[in-house]
Amino acid sequence: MLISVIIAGLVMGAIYGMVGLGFSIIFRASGIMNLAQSEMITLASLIGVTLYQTVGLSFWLALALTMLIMFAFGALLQLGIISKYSDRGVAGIYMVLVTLGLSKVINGGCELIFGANPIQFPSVFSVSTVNILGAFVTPERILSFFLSALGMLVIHLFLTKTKVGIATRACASDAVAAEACGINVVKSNAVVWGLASAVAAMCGMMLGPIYGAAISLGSKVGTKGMASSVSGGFGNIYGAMVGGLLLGIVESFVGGYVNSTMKDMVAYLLLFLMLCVRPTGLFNEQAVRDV
Amino acid sequence: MLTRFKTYTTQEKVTRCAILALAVVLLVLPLFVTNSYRLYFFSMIGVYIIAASGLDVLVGMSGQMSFGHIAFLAYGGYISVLLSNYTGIPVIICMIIAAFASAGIGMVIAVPCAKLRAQFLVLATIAFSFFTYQLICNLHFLNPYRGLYTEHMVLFGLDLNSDYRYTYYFSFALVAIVLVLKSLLSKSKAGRAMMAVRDNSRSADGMGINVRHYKVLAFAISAFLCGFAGAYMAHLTGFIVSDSFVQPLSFNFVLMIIFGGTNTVFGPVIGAFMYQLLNELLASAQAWRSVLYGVIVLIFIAFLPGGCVAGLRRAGRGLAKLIDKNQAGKETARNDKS
Repeated sequence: MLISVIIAGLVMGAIYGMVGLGFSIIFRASGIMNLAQSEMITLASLIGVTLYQTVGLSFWLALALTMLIMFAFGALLQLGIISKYSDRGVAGIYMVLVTLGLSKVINGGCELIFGANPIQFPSVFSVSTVNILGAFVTPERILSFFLSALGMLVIHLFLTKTKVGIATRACASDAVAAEACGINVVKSNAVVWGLASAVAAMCGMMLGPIYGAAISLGSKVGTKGMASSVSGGFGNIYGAMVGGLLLGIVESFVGGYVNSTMKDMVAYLLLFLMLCVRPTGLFNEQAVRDV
Repeated sequence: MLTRFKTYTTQEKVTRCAILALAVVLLVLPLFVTNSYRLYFFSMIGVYIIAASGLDVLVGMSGQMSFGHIAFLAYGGYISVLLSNYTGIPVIICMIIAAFASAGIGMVIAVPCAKLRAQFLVLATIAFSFFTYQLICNLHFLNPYRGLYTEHMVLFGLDLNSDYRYTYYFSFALVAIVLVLKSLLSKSKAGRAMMAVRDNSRSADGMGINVRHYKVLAFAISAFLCGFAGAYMAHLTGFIVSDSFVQPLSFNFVLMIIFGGTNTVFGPVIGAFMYQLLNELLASAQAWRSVLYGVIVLIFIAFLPGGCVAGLRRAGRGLAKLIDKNQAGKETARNDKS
């Protein structure tokens, strides 16, 4: 029991961490809380299941293609819509509303294109369960855990070792200075949004086999992702992962030992209390206003 | 004393005439509309107007954003229903008690939340609203999935729920009271302090306005109105179920005030009418509705940040100018004759 609870916690935690990572990347780069991120996950999972099941590509090819499509979509969203609003100087609270409006449009669009009924995500492996220290786990969940770890590593390397990644970090810390150094801030922001959307694509492909691809998927995990970002410190990408693992473990223990219907309530309570008691999260100091 | 002899500009006269005409139309409406579903539909708009006005105190007046105000409707509704079902206190009094309780909850929430930056406040309210929904679902005595029946509203011996014409006029009266109170609030010291906080919290702080205090106050007032709206909604429908309080519904109130115009008395009215009409027209097309609402928000923020009220104001100004010109023309014509 204990081992299966811990494994379930780690798996869900890693996915929540990835979801939270998507929020954090964008917030760090542009200071925008992107509520459309959760609907990006919905869209990605629906595109993914279409490519995998209907078109009949292999899982890995479908994953790569979905990430590519989502990268382009995210970058276009930033260039076509979000940057227009930022240029107009829309105030912070209305900027959140813009992303919420976008999420409604994306969600409604998904329903129009893919239908309201959830689509069964076919299993990726032929083995149904794997025995780890006496706990039976589906191989898709193990894959999710390692994919999250890999994704985290790739993003870390991208942000610290590549030229484009370093440029996006420069823009995040001081856009004006970065522009003076000859970095194209507009392009860099587009890369960041694309990256976050690619992360969302990965989450969608990982969550598909667990929950099934449905239009309610994003809202189901989006808030959990925000909770993990907040508890790790919003904007801190490593913190998001730590927060996600924390949330996953807590949720899994509550679900396993207390009551499975209390699971979600505890996650939201954790997010709310974290914002009240320690809004800076574990590793960040941005959430508090000085007055 | 001076105000009594104040002369109104033509624009103010135009506005007053428009409001008066609207009020008269709404007052005589039940004479022509006898379909009880239609009357219920209009009574429901009253609920939305009260809730949206409440949210507007928070968003338009004090500049804080909330995507979780449906939670206050839930608290108001459930507190009022439980009180009236178990204690037998008259429903109207229960509704008022519930509104105060909701304001209390709002205040408790606001004390830690008012220090958060805009985006994080949004997050906190979202979490609060999700938490509230889950809480209701886990409290089995509320019968969250099948719902509870509610008591009838009785005012001076008149059972309001017996005929939707009564609830229609009750809605009308409640909305009128709320709108008057809200316009008084926006002119009062507290209202102006909230607006100062919204425009620049640092300079407001420098001028001796207690920023935290007014942010919490705005939260409490808005929770009061939303709690009352929730209680009224529960007793109007005769039924309360957890599914009417899911977090995404909070978006609708934000939509109403963005469409109508933030920090205006009549913005929520226009927004609520539009929302209820669109909801009815697109009842079977859920997905299109979602897309349309998203697009409305995107368009209004970009091109008409003042909402419909700003548009109407512009139209009213044009009309006033036309009337002025016309009158001046007549005057010169009369002068020429003599």
